[in-house]
Amino acid sequence: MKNLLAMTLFGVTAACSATAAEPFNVGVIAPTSGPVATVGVRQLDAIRWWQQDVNGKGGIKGRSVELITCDDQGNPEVAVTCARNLIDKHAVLILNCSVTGPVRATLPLVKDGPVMIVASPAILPDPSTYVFQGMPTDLDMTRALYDFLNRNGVTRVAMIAATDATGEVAVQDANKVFGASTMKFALSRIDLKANDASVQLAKVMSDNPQVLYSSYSGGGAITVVKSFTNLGLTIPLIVNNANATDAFIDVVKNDMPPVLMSIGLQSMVPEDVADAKTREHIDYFKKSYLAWKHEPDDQLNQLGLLLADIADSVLRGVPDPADPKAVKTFLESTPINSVQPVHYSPDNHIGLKTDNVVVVQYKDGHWAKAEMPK
Amino acid sequence: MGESGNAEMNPLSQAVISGLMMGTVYALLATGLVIVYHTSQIMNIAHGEAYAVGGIVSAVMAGLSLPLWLALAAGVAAAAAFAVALEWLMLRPRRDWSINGLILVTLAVAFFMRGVLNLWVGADPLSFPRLVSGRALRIAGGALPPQGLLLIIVGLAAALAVPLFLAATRPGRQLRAVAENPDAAALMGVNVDRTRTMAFAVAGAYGALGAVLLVPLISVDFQSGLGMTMRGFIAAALGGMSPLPAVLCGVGLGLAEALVNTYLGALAQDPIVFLALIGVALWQSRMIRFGGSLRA
Amino acid sequence: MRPSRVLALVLVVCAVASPYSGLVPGWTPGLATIVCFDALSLLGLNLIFGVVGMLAFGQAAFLALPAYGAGILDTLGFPFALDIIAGIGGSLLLAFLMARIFVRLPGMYLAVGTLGFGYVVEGLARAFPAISGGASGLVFSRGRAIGADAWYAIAVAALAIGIALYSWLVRGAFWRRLRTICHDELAAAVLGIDVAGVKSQVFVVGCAFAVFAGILHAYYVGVIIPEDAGVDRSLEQVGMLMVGGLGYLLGPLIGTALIQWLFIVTGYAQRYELVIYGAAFLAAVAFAREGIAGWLDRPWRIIAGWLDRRATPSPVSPHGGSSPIAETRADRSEACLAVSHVSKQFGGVRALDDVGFSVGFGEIFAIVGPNGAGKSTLFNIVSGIEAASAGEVRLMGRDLGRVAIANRAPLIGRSFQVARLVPDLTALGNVMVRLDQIDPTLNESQRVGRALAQLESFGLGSLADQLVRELPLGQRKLIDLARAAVGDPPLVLLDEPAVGLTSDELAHLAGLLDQLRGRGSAVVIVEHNMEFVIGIAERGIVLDSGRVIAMGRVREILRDPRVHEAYFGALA
Repeated sequence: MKNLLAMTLFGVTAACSATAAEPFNVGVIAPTSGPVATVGVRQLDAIRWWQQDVNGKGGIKGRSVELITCDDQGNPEVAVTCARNLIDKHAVLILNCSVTGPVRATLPLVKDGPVMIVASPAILPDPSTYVFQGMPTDLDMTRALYDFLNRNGVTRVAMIAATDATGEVAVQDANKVFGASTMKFALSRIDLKANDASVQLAKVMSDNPQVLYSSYSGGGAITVVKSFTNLGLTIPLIVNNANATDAFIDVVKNDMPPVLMSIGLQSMVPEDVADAKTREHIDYFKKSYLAWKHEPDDQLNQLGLLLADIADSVLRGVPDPADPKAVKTFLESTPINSVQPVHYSPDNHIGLKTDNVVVVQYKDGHWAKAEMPK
Repeated sequence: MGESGNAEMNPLSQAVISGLMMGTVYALLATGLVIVYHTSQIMNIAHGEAYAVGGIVSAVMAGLSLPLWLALAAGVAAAAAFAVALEWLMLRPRRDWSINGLILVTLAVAFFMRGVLNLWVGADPLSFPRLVSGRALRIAGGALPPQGLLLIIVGLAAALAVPLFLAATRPGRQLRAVAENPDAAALMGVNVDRTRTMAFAVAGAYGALGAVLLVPLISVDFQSGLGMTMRGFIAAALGGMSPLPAVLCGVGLGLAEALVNTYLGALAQDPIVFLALIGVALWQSRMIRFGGSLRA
Repeated sequence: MRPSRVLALVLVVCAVASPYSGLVPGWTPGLATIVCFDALSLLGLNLIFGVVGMLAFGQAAFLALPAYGAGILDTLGFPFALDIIAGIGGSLLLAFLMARIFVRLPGMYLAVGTLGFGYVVEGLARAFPAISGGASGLVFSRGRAIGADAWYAIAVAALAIGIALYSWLVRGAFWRRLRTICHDELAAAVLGIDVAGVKSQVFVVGCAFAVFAGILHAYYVGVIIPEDAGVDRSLEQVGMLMVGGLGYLLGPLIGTALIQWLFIVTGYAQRYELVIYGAAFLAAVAFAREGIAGWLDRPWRIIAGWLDRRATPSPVSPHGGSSPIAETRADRSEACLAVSHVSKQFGGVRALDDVGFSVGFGEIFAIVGPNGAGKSTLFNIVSGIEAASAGEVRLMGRDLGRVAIANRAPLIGRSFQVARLVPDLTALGNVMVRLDQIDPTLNESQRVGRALAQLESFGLGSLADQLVRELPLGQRKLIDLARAAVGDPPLVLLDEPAVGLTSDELAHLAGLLDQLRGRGSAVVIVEHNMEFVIGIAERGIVLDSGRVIAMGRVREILRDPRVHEAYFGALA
């Protein structure tokens, strides 16, 4: 009897293992070509690192992780096709690394699941949906910037924003934060295809600001930095968090402004991270990624890792990840350890806040904590 | 807090300075388009790719730690080679095709080139050091970087040299002869094929010249070519496809863009420039008697 | 039903069902829906660019415009039906205006104008974010209520309607007219075709395809952004069409399906995507101008032909005797053509100076003179392509100065120095183009009959079904002549008909000119071949530097010493 039971159990387990060998299909939408390709490529690199790291250790619950990627080219229509495709292929989760416009277009498509995790700060998902935001909001990042400037006694600020979706949100948030304060605030808009920002800079400089904030991510940010240097300006220049990368520095290295700052996740300055678990995770990633890719990681890689960590947590913690309701409930009740601790709740699908954001400065060849010059 | 050096900027002066710099590059591109158009009767939509090739090759060479002058020379040479290859491989064997067909070939080459550049250097913008660096010159409330001054002087000199070349030198006159009547020119002993190739080579080199002077100020990426082609075409069309007016229109276009940018905002830039082109088209159409591509 | 039709039907059903089969990775109903809408839009571009040859790069703007129109009105609170009608109507109106502005100009203006239009639409969409959504785009939520399968059905239906409409347009006389314009606008004008008018019509119709496709597409996808109107998208459209096959019915569908599918399938090959697309486009343009549809065309015809075992069609109705015009003509003694004191000035150059002569019915009149004497200019003035600076031209007593080119066509037939025929029409088709213009009351089979009879009377009947591009120069010139003379116009203008003909062909030509004379037409020929002129013409004039230096019987004027000086003096 015992033997029979044992054999039956063995047989059942064997059968389960056979079916459990099916991989997890994780969908990834990332713009790897087009105007915002830098954003997509780097996040995707980190997600691929995660995949090979997990699979190298035997997978999750015995199952390997498969990535189904789709390049949305930064274009909302292609994004919609990508999303439809991923849903057709039964992706259990969608990691959306794209920018505001394309992400917004895909939101209605997941109204019945699967759970989609986005990394575009202008997207504020409604808690009743299956969409979760991995980044702090643009508003929170602007607040962090404001706090920093305020602490350092700055009273006149200028800003350059693009005419794209991200730019519009940036402008609205800046108006909410700076416009409502006692700081003097000047704004200029620049078109995505512009070759030269001198004119816009001249406009905002005529109000004599102490600091210039360029919320413009992507290739145009380089135009802003170059024009900034062409004009011989010396005030601190703060660039968008998406530009706190080595690729950006590499292009502008011949045009470095005297003081270059950015906004980023706390994880950019690991020495200052208080929580030990978080610190350990960041260090592990940095070492392993460098060994795997032969390239140091940057802010965008860390964002990708954030998304991957959320996926990792879901796949490990939810018995049936193919059930979006279960995944949603799980995420809303479970803190996630990543480059920063992520907290969702049934009323809030934005996992990071102002405290997770820090203003950084490029000093001595790397990004470090910012110090306002006197 | 670093306020010195930022005093009193005048947007209008800055607009004029920026406009002159961009306008010089447009003038170089327009000139190249015009000489190609006159010798081959086609609108080379791949023209702007010479700018992109020149800029990107220079950037890559500079990144390999070659001396700057060598990197730039490589960029110009690569662009000229690209233009010559286009003429020799793609256009010459198809001489008997319709003009529309040939224009489409150049469009396809432009597309293909974008893909090649994207494959080679990816989507990131690239740049390389300035030939002349130093503090920006303050002029009437605007700032002109020394590299910008170099761009304007060298660029305009090169662009203006073309009408002179066409009028006063032997190869220039041969080019004009081929432009006016290839068969007659051939009968008079001009090597028509070589003249056409030379026109393409010069156009390519000019595009790259604009790139090597301008890119340090604004960066270049694999997509830069098409925008430059469009602007070069508009300047050339506004100038009636003649070399000297094309130069003036190129500079004018740069100035107009900068001014529109300053006073109407960045968004108004493209619409206004193209409305101007529609205006030119309407003006030209008064002279046409009846439909199609025919003139009375 | 013919066997080839059955096969085609089977293939169509398979194609429509294919997204559900799961056989091809990535080929889903969702993708197929988008492909159908894009193909619908490209049918319009095929009409504009493939059939008529107009370079237009604004298809994307016409896709985006109605969507923006409808979406903005929706945001402003107008009822749904009104939004759609206004969006479509407004876009068609703009297409009409663009046609009016650009169609008369050289091709490059339309190309850049349409490109510019795209930039303007894109710029305007960005500039007013409050109503257009700006760079974030405009969202269309009404379409979400319709399920994926229902959308696919709608898309297939829309494409089917589009294909039916396209097929209906691109046939018979209208199609011949379009091909003639595409290849030779000058010949088209002289044949009486209203070139600008037809081109405008085609442009608007072609844009209409895009307008309808665009509205459907926007409601399906659910969002539209300013870039959708822009240059890159328009160029992609042209690219897809080129790869699929320019001018072929299935070109748009094949091109869209292949390229869109490649985009999805190579999703992982990010950096290779553009270069692959570019290489495919380049290969299509440079080496396979016919595109994929072109490659498939010949095998398909072979298969279809083998299946049907068709017989060659025989002419349906016989030629019904000489036309009314010829009958009343034969005994007229007055002049058919009367040119008096005609001068033409181009800037500072006097091309014609006080030229006057008359040609009677049933007469062959020669105009000789050195090159540059103004002979072609004179013909252009009589045809109506150019206006005289002074003097008048009367045809059968009527002052032609008041008659538009299109209205002169039935009365004047003209052939050209280099035969201006449409290469991919048959000899029969080319002759029919003139019949299409001068007698719209005939039906297709009557036209075939009369054209065939004309070719036969000229001894060219065996060439009727051959494509002109496969025929040698000499035969082309004779077909050009047959075309000029079909319908028995009272006046026939022949520009150097003898150039390039062998001596046999010359004899044939002389016989044909005799025929024309016999039918009562006035024939004016410009010629250099003096022997031929003496053999065939009775009277003539000699033109030199725009002036008539001799007029009278051909033998006499050719012996005039001034004529010798004009000719040999110029050559010495």
